[in-house]
Amino acid sequence: MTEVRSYIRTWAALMALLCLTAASAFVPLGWGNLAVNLVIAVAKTALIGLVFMRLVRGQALPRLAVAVAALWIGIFFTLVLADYLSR
Amino acid sequence: MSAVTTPFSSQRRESAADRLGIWIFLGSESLLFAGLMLAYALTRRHYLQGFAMGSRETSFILGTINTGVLLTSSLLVALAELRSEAERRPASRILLLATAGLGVLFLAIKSVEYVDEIERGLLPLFDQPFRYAGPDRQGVAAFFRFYFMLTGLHAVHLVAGIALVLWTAFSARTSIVRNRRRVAATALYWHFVDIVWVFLYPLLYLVSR
Repeated sequence: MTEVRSYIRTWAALMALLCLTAASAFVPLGWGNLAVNLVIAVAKTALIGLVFMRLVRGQALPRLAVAVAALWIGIFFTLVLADYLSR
Repeated sequence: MSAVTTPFSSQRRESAADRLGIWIFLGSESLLFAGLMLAYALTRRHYLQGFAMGSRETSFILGTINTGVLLTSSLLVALAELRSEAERRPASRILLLATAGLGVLFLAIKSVEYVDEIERGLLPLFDQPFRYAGPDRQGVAAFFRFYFMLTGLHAVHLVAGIALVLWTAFSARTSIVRNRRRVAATALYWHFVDIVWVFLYPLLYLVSR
């Protein structure tokens, strides 16, 4: 039952983050809006991944798979942006 | 009959292999969406005004409700996985059906949005006339090309997710162990589709309000 409770708490946190990101859209922050939105999206992803997808209490191999995917996406973004943003 | 399939020496190892397999699949799927989002980022940088104006044409209310629907469906599928582990199959099945129900609700809401946007002439694809009349028409068209491509690809994934969840819920004759593994794999995929939407929501609906 403790797991059920922690899942429900995670869901409540996700909904709170959704309200926060939705409300932040109406506060003019310039590029800050994009930054706030992305930070909140990453936070939501972390909650879903760590709790619902069990990256925290599961085995190490899935964590390795996630790290590898993140590494490839990182290389992909870094190389493309390094080209475009330096033109 | 043993529930373990060759070449695995124990159930634990078999389900660990299951999970790793799904995670590697999700890792490659994430590269597909990351590639499109990178293309989105570069195009948005080129058409700053067009993306802001385009985003204002999307439905903030429906997009926000739909995000809530998907986040809730993730909770339900996670609970279904817990129930299947506790060998409570009927409860697990009800939770899976509710998950699929929320998936269908999401698609229904998305269709309402699509119909509205297509009627307003905002679909710059399939030789449809693009009737947006405000500033930076070209940029807005670029925004909507990404909007339909990204949400469309996400919807295809969600349809696959719904089919998978229903198949898992209705495969009654599988053993308890096999059922548990299926629910676990299905839940991982469902959460991934939810995470994709978590990024699409701010990138498409919240550019400028």
